[in-house]
Amino acid sequence: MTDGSAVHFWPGRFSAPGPWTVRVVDPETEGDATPDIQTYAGLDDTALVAACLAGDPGAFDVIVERHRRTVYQVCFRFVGNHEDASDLSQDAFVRAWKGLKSFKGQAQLSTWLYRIAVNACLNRVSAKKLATEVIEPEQFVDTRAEVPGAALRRDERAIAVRRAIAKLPEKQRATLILRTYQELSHQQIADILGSSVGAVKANFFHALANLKKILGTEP
Amino acid sequence: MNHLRPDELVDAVEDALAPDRRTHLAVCEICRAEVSQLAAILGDTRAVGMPEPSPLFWDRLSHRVRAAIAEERPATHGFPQWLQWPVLVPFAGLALLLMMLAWAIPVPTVETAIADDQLTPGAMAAVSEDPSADAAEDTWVAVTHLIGPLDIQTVEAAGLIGAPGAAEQAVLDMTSDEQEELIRLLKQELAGS
Repeated sequence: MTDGSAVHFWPGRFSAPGPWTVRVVDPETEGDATPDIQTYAGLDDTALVAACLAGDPGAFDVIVERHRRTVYQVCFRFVGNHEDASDLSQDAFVRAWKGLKSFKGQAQLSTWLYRIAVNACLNRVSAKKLATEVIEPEQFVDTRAEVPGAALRRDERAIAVRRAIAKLPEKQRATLILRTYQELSHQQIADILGSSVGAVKANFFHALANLKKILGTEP
Repeated sequence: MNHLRPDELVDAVEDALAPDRRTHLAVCEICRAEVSQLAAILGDTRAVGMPEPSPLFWDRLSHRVRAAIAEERPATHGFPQWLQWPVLVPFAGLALLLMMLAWAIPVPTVETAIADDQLTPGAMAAVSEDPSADAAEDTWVAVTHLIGPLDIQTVEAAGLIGAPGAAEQAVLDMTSDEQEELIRLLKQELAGS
């Protein structure tokens, strides 16, 4: 998985090591040790976990690098804003690091991390009602080829759906997010949520039915 | 005719319905309408995108995780691997229990350690005549013999009760000359009685 770090126009300090390349240096992360990441990059998740448990901190850096995008996406879908999603992602990885000894390898590491992230989100959502930020649709949708009216209608619909998802009960929301956006199987979701496939399907059905109800009653 | 159950409706929306139930769906207007509505909602849900964070964000997230773990590490890895809470807590509890027992259980006195027949005047005399007898032991035997008949109320009424072990400590704090003098006085008292 790549993070697309070849960026040219984001804030940061620029340096030019040669005439043909421009390297973006993030002042916040500059100086972080990275050789370990190169060392462990070829290992699979199981070997990385073993390396972590053997006391190699660099191995966990690789785990974070591999799974940070999916963990962040789940968190963002839950809370709907970047700041909280960022905090929750960090929290999820720290929890994972603390609980690494309990990871027995019976499930995929990604499934285990999903579970931790979902639990972190559910705890946070339970602790406080997060304000779901209304994202400016232009941020992520290319509307250049569309007629303005159609784009506006679609944007309004997207905002309404996001608000409706935020109103779903936690288990239904978790199921909907994992199934719809992360495209996990019902069995994987059942493993993550600690339920059965039947319960996952029932939750998914009720999530869609509730969305239909909420969207049908909203102006 | 049984309509599709919720899980079957989900299967139908995801095009994974069992063949025998597809037969029902083909002929049931109600189920088809339900599946159609659910599919439309699912389509709307899938269409909701999410913003892509700054590409620099990913390295910053890794950096934050690394920093947070580094903060956690001294708390849990500063001690040897075996010296962790699961080990420390039982040991601390055991130590506390032992301290409480040591405080609660009275120190065995010579009175209880020595049989009554050993405290007869003859025995006392034998002890006192034995040049190898330990002076401190003599002291304890004599003191114990003197206070043996007294009950606690009498001692308390006389205002002689101090802190637990205070009397023993007072004797131990005496110089050897003082202890010898005490022994002499006690023997004199015993001989007189």
